Amino acid sequence: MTTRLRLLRSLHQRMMADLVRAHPYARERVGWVVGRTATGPADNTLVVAYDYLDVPDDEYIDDPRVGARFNRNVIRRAMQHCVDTGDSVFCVHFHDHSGRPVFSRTDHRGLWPLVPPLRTLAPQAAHGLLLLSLDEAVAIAWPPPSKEPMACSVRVVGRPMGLF
Amino acid sequence: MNSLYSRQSFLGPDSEAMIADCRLGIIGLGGGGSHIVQQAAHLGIKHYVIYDPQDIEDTNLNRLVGATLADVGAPKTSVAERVIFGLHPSADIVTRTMRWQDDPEPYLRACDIIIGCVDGTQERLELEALARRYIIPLIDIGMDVHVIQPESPRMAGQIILSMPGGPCLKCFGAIPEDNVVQNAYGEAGGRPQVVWANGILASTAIGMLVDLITNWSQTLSSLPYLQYDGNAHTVLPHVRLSHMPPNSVCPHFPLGKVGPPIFRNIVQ
Ligand SMILES: [Zn+2]
Repeated sequence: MTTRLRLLRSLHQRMMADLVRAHPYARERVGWVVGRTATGPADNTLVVAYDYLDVPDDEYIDDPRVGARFNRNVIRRAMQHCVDTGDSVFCVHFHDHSGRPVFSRTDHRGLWPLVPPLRTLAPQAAHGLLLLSLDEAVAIAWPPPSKEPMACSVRVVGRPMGLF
Repeated sequence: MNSLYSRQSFLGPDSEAMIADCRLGIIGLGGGGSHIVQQAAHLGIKHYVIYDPQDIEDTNLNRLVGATLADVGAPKTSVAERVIFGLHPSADIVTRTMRWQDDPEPYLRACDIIIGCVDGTQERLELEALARRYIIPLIDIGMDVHVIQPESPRMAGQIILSMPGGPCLKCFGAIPEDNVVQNAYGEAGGRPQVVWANGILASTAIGMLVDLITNWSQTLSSLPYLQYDGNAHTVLPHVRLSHMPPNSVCPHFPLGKVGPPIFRNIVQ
């Protein structure tokens, strides 16, 4: 068994509708998908997503060197959600192509460091990164209590199902 | 594509991988569930969670496909395993020879789709509640025979897709809103079950499952509540659907209430 992130297609559509919009200066948008973690053995952790927190236009920082840079409010909002709920938070962004997306080196450098503070604030929950393409998705997750990230399959529930 | 599946390649170039990757939960391995197991295995599903507490009795052999006289006394799960392993020797099967309610976690929540072949209204409600909590599509099948003298017996059945976010069994009217629970189907002598009706219901459920995974028919707006008329030999959209408002929102399972149940101490 693996770690899974499961979300409704309607939530997936909401994320996509937000993330594909062109931004005045940022090349990529990000958002947070939040969910409840069902813990078990580390390889059988399930995150059931229930909401999406978008990032307002003015919270991005104009930096042509990276796809998306944003101010502290963005991270603070995710951290606050962890504090308030103890739930899972995944940072989500979108690569504009079809087929299986791959986290870039910039993604690793910029997004990976977002996760440890979330794990500190909501240690019972799995946290991670979700990357969408036009028709597929990949994710990595840090299920509790694992210190290492692991591949996380993504299940989009709707008609049709998306099993990624 | 593996030559085993060349005759179903019209399902799409990725269909074999998607079907193989799907984890199917099957609750109840009797008349309906044994057909589900058989078809799912032939279809190419390789991950299973199966539950049934019962051993095979001679009265099951009129409908429990895959079972033989030699299986009387063995658990129903053993027949299911034999059928699956016979087609997929390395299949990943979580076998629970028990009531699913006695130990559902963490096995059922890992399923991508659950097919419920259970008898009682209460059990159907409980299974749907679990599926909704973990946003898992549930396909519910069942049959019933009513006898109202002096008429001939009426055989009926249903196939319902309870899709998280969409109408539930209560929304469909398949279970009474007032929770008046009838604990078993059937009025025509000891839970009537026949192999051909079980086969039709199970085949239709598997057809729904394949469509959900592959979207091969491109008709996924199609109707999720079908009624089987065993006397007329028809499967049709349920009449209740015509009374449902389009895009109705289920009030029974709010979308915010997902994830594992939270237990709180009750302070006196
Ligand atoms: Zn409902």
